Amino acid sequence: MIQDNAASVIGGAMIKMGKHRESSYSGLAAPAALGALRDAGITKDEVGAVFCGHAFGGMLTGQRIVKELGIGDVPVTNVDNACSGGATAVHLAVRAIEDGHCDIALVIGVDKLTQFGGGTLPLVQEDPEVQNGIVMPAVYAMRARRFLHERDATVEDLAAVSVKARRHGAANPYAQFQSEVTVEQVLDSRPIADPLTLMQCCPTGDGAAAVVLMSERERKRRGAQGMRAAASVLHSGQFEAGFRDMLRPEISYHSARDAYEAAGFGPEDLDVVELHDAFTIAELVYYEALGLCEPGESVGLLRDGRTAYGGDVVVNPSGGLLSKGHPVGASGVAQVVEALWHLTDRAGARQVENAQRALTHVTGGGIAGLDHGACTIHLFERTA
Amino acid sequence: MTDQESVLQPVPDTAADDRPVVTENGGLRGGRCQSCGAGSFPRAYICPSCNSTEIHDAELPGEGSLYTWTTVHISPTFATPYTLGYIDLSDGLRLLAQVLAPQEQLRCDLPVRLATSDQSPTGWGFVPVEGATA
Ligand SMILES: [Zn+2]
Repeated sequence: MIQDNAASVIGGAMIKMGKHRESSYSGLAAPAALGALRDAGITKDEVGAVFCGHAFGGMLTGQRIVKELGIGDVPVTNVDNACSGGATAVHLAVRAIEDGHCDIALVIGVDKLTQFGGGTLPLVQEDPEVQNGIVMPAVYAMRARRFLHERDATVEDLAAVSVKARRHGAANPYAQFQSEVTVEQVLDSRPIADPLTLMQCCPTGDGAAAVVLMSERERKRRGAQGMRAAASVLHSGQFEAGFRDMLRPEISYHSARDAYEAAGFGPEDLDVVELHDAFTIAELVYYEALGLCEPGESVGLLRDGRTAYGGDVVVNPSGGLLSKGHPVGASGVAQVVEALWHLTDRAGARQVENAQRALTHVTGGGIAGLDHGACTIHLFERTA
Repeated sequence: MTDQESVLQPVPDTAADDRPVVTENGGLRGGRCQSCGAGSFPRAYICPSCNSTEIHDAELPGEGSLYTWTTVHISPTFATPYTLGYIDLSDGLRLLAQVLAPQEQLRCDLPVRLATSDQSPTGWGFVPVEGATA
């Protein structure tokens, strides 16, 4: 029995991810927001609250976007949570509906990284690790180095993550990269932070995505279809001054544990996973954190094709961040849109057949003493 | 709370210290909580373990092992390439620092020690302990 105040995603849209230097934040996000409303079959006047995730949009980004649609006089909340900003906005919308604050919420995720002219994500200079020269690729590169040291794994295994991602992305018209690559091409691309090469890092990009969430009572009344948020979990990292096992990021483990407990189903029930593959190593580490396999088994899972089409669960059918790029605040919402398309049989050439349940996962932010600053996990189930 | 002495004032930073990182004895200039004994580097302003603000200067061990490392080829902070690593100090603290060693000598769990160096963009870093096996 689904509660009247349960939240479901009933509409979504995104723009093509890529380098859109000519677009403003509104220019990126307004088409996605309007697309989500139309997809949900609602009008602008029915939106009861807006949540906008972004990291670099500046003050009142959400208001700048929704005024273009004539949405006003409702609470608009802007959220920064680095790579989890968009998914945090989804989380807040789920909570707002569950807590009875509104029946229909619009969520927007947007960011424009080309404004920084390329290179690594700008980090906050107040952090001591940043002062010592840390960049995001280096965080993951050090994780990769330790992974190669502790596991029976090679750089070819890392490259295989990019090969799978780009193969999936080749079928996704919304991806920035729509071409396949080989292990050799990945390893021969220029070094970024050893052992990670350029093609093992998500490209700089701009993007926006939007979803409409609705209470169960309202959804039933309208007969709208979509996917129910069976779990919506947000965690922050725990500071640790000493040893930390970089192959077991506690923030993702804890978030996944709580999400499965809330949903009442587990990793073995998933058909689609969109996880945070900002760098190749991340996917291997997160297979284990999300319970898709036992700790130590992630390389075998990938090698055996169990996370690709025809396997146990399709991980990153969109091509992931490695194909789409990672416009920080947009990514978490874009994952939810991808999940919605699969759970409503609208994913086109990349449709995961008969997909019933999906997981989306974003985590990130580089802070000294933390795995990551934030992690958001959502579990979705096709509405009956 | 209008008493002059109770008005909270900001501190320049919760981890600010302009003095050299390497002490005269080759140790690491950090802090130690007077309440629970937790070490910190850079010296913490508030102890994350017990929230005491009684944290005194302390010389932390300059020796440890290299948990992992990477050579960075793209950076807005320093000229590239440079090598970073996480060092687990012998007293249990972990810190990120520059690592100064030939590529062929780098490996996980390599014994390293703190050193001042003009080869490092920060002026200090960790070097392999002499005689450590590669
Ligand atoms: Zn203490």
